[in-house]
Amino acid sequence: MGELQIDHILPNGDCGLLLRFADTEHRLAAIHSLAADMLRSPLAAMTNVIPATDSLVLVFSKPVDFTSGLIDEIKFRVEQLTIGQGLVQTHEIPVCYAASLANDLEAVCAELQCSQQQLIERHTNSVYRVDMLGFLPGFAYLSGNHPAMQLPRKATPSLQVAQGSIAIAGQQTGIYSLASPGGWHVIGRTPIALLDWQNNSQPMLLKPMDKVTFIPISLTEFHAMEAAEESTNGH
Amino acid sequence: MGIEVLQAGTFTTVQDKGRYGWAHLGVPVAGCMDQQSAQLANWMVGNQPTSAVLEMTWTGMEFTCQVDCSMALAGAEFECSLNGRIINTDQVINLRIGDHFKMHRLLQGVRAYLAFAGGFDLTAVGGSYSTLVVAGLGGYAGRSLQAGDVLRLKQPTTVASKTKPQWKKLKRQSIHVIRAMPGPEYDCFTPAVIRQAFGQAYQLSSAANRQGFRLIAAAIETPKGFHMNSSGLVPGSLQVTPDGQTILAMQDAQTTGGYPRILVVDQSQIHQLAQIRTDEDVYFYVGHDQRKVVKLAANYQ
Repeated sequence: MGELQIDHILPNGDCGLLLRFADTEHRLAAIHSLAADMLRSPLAAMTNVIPATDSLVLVFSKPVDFTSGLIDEIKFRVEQLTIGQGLVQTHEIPVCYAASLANDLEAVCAELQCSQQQLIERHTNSVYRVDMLGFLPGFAYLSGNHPAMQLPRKATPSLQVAQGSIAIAGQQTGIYSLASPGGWHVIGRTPIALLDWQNNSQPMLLKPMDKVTFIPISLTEFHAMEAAEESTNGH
Repeated sequence: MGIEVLQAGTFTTVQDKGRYGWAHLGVPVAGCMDQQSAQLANWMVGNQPTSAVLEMTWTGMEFTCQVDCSMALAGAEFECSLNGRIINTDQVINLRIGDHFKMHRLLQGVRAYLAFAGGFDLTAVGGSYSTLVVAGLGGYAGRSLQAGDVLRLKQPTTVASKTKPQWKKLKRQSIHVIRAMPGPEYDCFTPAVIRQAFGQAYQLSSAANRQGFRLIAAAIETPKGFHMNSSGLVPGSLQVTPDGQTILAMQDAQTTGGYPRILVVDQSQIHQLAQIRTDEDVYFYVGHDQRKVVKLAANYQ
C-alpha cells in the first residue's frame, strides 16, 4: 500500500480526469497496476483508462461531478493499491534480422560501428520491459537497449514502416503492431501478430510491465512462421 | 443485398458511437464526429441512436440500391436526387430495388450522416463498427468506401415517414461559440496569454481531418523551457505546439499527447466543431458551471 501518491487531480475536459503522481520509486509499475485495477472493476460511467509515465487519465461518458464522492473513491482505490507482481508474463518474440526486412539495419551498424552479428547479439541478450502501449493501437515501447545500441530518432521519419518491424531509438525498442510512418531505426521484423482482434478479451499480446526477449530467426524461418500466422488468423 | 457504391465521395466511412475501453492499448475512440446528426438520422429511420451510419466529408455519395429500404440523411445539407429527380432530404427517403441515389452540391456544413433502417451487415471490432483508417480497423474493410464496394444491409426495412424537426437542421453560422474547460496545462500559460487564447477568433485550416484540426489564430506563447511527459488525450483538447500554433484533437486523435492543452472543449459540444468551415470564426469560452468545477477541483491540487 502507499505505492502511489497523487500529486494532483485535474479536470481533463468536462468528462475526464487527469491524475498526476509524485515521483516515487515504483511509480510506473504502480500506475499500470492502477490502470489494470480500473479496467477490472470500472468506476461508474467510466469509458477509458489511459496510463502514461507519470499520470493516469480516466474518461467518463458523462460530466464528472466533483461533489459526488467519485474523487474520494478514486483516492481510496489509489491508497488500497498493491503492485500486481504475479501478473507479469515473459514473452519470447522471434525476430529476423535481415537487411531485406529491415531498411535501417546496415545504416545502424555503420553508425554504431559494429557488425550485424554484434548488433543481433546486443539486441537478443537483453531482457526488455514493456513500458507502455500507445502512439498507434498496440505499438509497444520496451526499455532495455544495450548502452552501445542507442541512437536518437531519425531526423526524417520513414513514410512507411512495415507491420511487425522491430526498431530502436534511445533506450527503447519499439514494435510496430501495424504498418505506419515512423521515426525509429528498423533493425528487424517479427512474423507474429501483436494485435489480434479475434481475441476479444485480450487483443494485445503484450501488456505493460511484461518482460520480453528477442529470439533471432532466419529468413526461411520468418517466412514459414509468417505463413503459419496468416493461416491461423484466416486472412 | 445492399447498396452498390458508384461514387464514394472524398472520405466516406462507417462510424458509430465510438470504440471505448481500448485507449490503454493506444486505440483512439473514433466514432461519428457529429454524434447529434448521426443520432438524428438514426432516429428518423427507427434505429438505435448509436447504430452505425455512413459519415461523408465535403462530398457525398452516389449508389444504386439492390433492395427495398428506407434511409435518412442528417448533418451537412446536400442537394440530392433519386433517379435523376431532386428530392427533399428533410424526411425519410424510401428506395426500391434498382433506384439510383446521388448527392450533388454541398449546401451547408461539412459532414453528412446517412442511416439505413435495420443497419449494416458488418462485424464489430472491439465492440464498435467505427472505421479507424490509420489502423485499418473496423467499418468496411478498415478503410473509406470506394466505387464498386457493396455495402450489405442487415435487415433492410421500409419505415413510416418521419420529418426532421426544423430546429435540428444544420444552419450556417458565421461565428461558433464553443464551451470549454481550462485544459490540464492551463496554469502553465501566463494570464495575458490565457486572455488572448479565450479572446481571439480561430479559423479552420486546410489541415483538418478526423485526427485533428490545425487552427489558424495569432500564435499562443508557450512558457520558455516548458516540458511535460505525454499524458492521456481526449477529443476536444486544444494543444499548443512550440511554434504557438494550435491543434484541436478530434475523434481519431492519438490516445496520448505531449503538447500543453490550454483548453478542452466540452464533450457535448464537439459535434458543432465537426461542421465548421474554413471561413467561419470559432471562439472558446469557459461557462459558469465550468468555473464551478474548476473551483471544486482546486481542492485536489
